[in-house]
Amino acid sequence: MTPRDPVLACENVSLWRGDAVIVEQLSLDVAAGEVLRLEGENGSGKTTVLRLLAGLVEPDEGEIRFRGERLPRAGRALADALLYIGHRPGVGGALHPDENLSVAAVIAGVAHAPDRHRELLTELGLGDRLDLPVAALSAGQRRRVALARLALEQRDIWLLDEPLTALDAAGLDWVGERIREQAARGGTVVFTTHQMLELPGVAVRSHVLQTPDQSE
Amino acid sequence: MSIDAPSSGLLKGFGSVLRRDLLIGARSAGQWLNPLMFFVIVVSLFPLGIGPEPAQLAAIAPGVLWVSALLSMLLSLDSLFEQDRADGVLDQFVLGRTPLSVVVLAKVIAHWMLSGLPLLLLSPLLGLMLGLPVHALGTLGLALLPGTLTLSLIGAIGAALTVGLNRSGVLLSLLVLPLIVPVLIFGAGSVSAAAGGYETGAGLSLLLAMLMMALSLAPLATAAALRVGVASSEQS
Repeated sequence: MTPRDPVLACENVSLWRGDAVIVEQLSLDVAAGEVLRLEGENGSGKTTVLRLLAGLVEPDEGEIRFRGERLPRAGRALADALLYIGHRPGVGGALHPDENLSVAAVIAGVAHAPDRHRELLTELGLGDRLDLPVAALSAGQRRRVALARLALEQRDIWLLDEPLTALDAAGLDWVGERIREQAARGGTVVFTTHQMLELPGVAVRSHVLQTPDQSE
Repeated sequence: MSIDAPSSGLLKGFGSVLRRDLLIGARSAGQWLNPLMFFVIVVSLFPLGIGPEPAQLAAIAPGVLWVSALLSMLLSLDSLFEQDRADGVLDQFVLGRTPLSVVVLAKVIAHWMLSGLPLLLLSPLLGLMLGLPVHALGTLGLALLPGTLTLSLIGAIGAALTVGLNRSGVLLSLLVLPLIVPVLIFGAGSVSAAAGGYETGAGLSLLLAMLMMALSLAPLATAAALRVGVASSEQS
């Protein structure tokens, strides 16, 4: 083990749902400026691990530490340093794209800049969709609305669950560029994906999650 | 990044969620029209079922109006957090800097404005239809205002406890209905008293007291239940 100062760390974390093991004895950590990719087959618990790291789910065993302090005590500090975009990306179907971003900004407690939102959504190729409810957009366009927050909220830690799902090549490039910027300014990224993402110039560490053995 | 004073941040968060939910409600008419239609239909069925005898209808009018109002509000309760959970917005609320109880309060007020307020506005008309004396209509409105708000607040606890469960409607009713029986008793009682020409101050005061208690405690309980719901909801 290299001596380093992890921003976020799991130690021997296990989680059950009824009799099913979801996460078994997981230990991993990420440091500032690091990009970690969680890999593993379907059902290996990638989403759950991200939710554990976000403090949304408490482990049954083991502990999660944010800058050395245990969750859930450090939960508030973690949430303030965190940008979590889940598998369900957190955009409301009946709202327009920029309305979604405005609500997200107010809830997250960051500056609320409608002009910047529209500009960014236009940059993301949604310029002609600004007055449509998000439910009328395609899956990839909805994903873009959610991912726009990557450029709006400066947070130390990004936890991104399948951020590339349904994105086209231009979308992949845009996300790759944001991840590179985040790593360059010393931020941390943990993400899951089944797709290939080229991140030239960024050292991406992989952690392969083993599907827990349910036989015991 | 601008840092707001905590109180203005709270107000901004509250206003933003309230506006968001009202906007969603305005764009999907069913959300406020369905409970209202249900209310009108149920109340209109009573004269048909019981017979058009005015004295009899006037006697049961307070109870009919109250039971119908509570049931029709219950109808819209199980969707209070469900869509937000399905969209992943609930996760963002839990992680957000605006306290979850403030978000909950905003959502509950929006729910009441979309489902309780229309009932309240229409109830005098239906009261007249059932032969409720005109001098009792004021009390009907005065009692339904805190009563429906209390139901929204208490119902939110049930909606939060059942978030993520499929077809939670019946369970939600089982959880919520016993808790709102006092509201029903004092609400319908006040209206009956007003119709009979008696003093209504005591009943209305109790309704207000129940509202105050629900207002101060229900958002906290709902927020706690939502955290549990988010932590245990299935991922797929």
